Amino acid sequence: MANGRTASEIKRIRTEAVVALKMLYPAALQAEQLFRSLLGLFPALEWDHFRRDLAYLCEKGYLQRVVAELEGDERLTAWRRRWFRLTSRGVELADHVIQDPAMDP
Amino acid sequence: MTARARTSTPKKAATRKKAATRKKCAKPAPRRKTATPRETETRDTAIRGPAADEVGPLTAYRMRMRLVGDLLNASVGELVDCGSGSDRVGRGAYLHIMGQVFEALDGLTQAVPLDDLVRLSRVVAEQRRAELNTRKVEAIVSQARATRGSSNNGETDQSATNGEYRLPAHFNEMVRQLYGVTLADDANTESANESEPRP
Repeated sequence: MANGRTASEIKRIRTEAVVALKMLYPAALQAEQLFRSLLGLFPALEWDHFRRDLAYLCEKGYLQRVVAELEGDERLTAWRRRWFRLTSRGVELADHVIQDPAMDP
Repeated sequence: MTARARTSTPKKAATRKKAATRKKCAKPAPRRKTATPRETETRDTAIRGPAADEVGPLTAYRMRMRLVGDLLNASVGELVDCGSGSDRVGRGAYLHIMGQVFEALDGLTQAVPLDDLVRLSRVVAEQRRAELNTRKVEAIVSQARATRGSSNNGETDQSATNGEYRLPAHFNEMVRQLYGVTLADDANTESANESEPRP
């Protein structure tokens, strides 16, 4: 149990984030909008945990950050204002073409 | 072609009568309902699928996201090609517009601001952790009471049943042995100092 979340909860949240971005693929979405959308499904979801999930999914190669001209210095952009889209590998995961034990709830 | 003459025998006549009677008494065949446009599955119903209240929240959420994604891609999907490095302004505008459209379609325009949401979620999480810890403490205390009650050799602990907790009888002795003083000694000392007249 990490930070009050069970392993299955963590997997479900990450999976639903990937699935939501898959529905919008190839479009990108702001982290804030994705978080507020997922709150309807996971009312106890905390922003700090979700931000770490986004970073994790980026490191895994399922998400990639999209930098907009409006951001200026991308390093200073708050996480909730950053845009994320699914990568091709993320699409394959969402379509169950590839398997990831860390993501299957 | 001549019709074949019917040879009327009593048996055959009776059979024909029965058949005629059966035909008269038989219920009329039910009318076949002609298919109306409302009853056939149209393309719209096939796309809509079951009503939202008949599916779980997860399925409803995925259905909604799918519809939002289809609408976004249909409306502004062509602008995604402007995401090249040379047209970051266009991509920024596209992202901004798409975000606004997504918020409107997902029903987030009237939502609480994110700062308030973050604070609220932290409050809810802390409250839940406090409740869990309180339950754990209560379980431990009740377990300890039950254990102490069974080891007291029949002594009834009224304070435990009343919900109050009192120090065990030998606690003073323990304090005296550890620190050389007792609670009573300290209280007597303080009162003695107060009662002594000051020079």
